[in-house]
Amino acid sequence: MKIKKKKLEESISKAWKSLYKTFPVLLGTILLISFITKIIPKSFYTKLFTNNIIIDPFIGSLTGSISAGSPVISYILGGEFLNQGIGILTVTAFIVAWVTVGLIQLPAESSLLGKKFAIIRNITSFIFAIIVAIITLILKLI
Amino acid sequence: MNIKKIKKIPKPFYFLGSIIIVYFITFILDRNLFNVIINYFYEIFVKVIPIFIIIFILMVIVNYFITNKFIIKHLNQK
Repeated sequence: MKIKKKKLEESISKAWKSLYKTFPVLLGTILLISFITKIIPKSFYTKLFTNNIIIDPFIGSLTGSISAGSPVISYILGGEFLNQGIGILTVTAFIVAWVTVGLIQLPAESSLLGKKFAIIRNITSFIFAIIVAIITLILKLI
Repeated sequence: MNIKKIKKIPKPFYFLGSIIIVYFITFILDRNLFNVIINYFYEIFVKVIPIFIIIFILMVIVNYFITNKFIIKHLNQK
């Protein structure tokens, strides 16, 4: 297989541009995580999340829905949440909702794809984020 | 009269800027806490860099092989 030089250069430049756009948010997020982790004690999270199979992923899904940004950032946040003692249930729901639900982008989505479609898609994605989290936990325990 | 266009600062930089201000305030108020936070930031940042390199390589591969034409060709069956 022959690699086309021009096409490769274009691919590198495209990848570099999208990473360059993500970088300030990523840097800011890591700075914020470091700050919050050292300011808020771990006991706070254990009080907030009570290992309830419905409430915990609901909070995770809700947090993920109102957040926006590159999925990479959600993985970093999710990893830090796990380090802080937050359960896999909440973290999974958070990551799935971050990627699939977009409350901030909802006006743009509804204008481009239709209001009804955007609302239904976001609601189902929100519910499925909770279901995916529960399934992930069950499969992890098996 | 020519009015020079001022380049708008991208929104992500506002986010980064505001967090740097918070760090600056922390540095003034409590230097020990600032050092602890910066060390922790460094730990995470070092962990993230190799992941970012892998993501960059994957993005280049995807951009090279999966072009807009390719997607349109395979999604435009109906």
